[in-house]
Amino acid sequence: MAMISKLEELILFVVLRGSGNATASDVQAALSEAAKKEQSFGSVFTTLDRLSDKKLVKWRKGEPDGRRGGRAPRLYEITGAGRRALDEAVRATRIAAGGTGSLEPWGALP
Amino acid sequence: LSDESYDESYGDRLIGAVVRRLPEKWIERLEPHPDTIKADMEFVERHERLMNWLRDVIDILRHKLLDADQKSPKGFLIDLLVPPDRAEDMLLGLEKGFERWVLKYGVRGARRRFLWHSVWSVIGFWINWMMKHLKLLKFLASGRG
Repeated sequence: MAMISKLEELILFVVLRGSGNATASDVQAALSEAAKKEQSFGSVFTTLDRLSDKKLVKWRKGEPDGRRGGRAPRLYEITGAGRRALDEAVRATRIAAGGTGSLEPWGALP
Repeated sequence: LSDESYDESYGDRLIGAVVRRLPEKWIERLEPHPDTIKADMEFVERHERLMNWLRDVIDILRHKLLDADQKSPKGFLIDLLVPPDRAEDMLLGLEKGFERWVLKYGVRGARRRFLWHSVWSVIGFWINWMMKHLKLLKFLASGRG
């Protein structure tokens, strides 16, 4: 399995936390909060598109918002392949940091 | 309206400023006198009604101006340069971002950020599109060779 970038890893975490209802705006807000600086929407949109092309996330149309001209947001959800890629990325980080690479503490991921 | 005037007491402060500029003889007229108490009461009631009406008008104008000011930009750049199915989600994301930025940076700062993020979203979308198609071309070329 190909390695994912740090940004892809972080976005996968946010999408995972969103339980199937994460929007691009949620992802951008969470990343901005984590980095303590405004994350570019452009990079969030392109990374989500790339993850979607790699089939690590999937999306469906949400409810149209009357206040916003009836436009509907994309709701992102992590796929099985996405979960595996995320586990692999976390394991690689642990090994690089001198750990065992065991995913035990991450077993609690939903 | 400037950012400083976006508070609830704007109408009251404006009325206070108007009252402070009233001619002295008008203020004297407000002091009750046994002979003119009825006329004074009418005068006060009339002005109270006028003040209430003025407060309502200011309130309506303030909200109208505030609403007009805080509307997010149209995002024509995205509508024009990104396919509709992708543009829809991009615009929604940026509008939500705009709402957050208004609270954090004020209306002008939020508009600047909206434009900046719109430009980079469009550029990012097309770079991504080109990369994807280049990969496909490379794959096809290697298949033939």
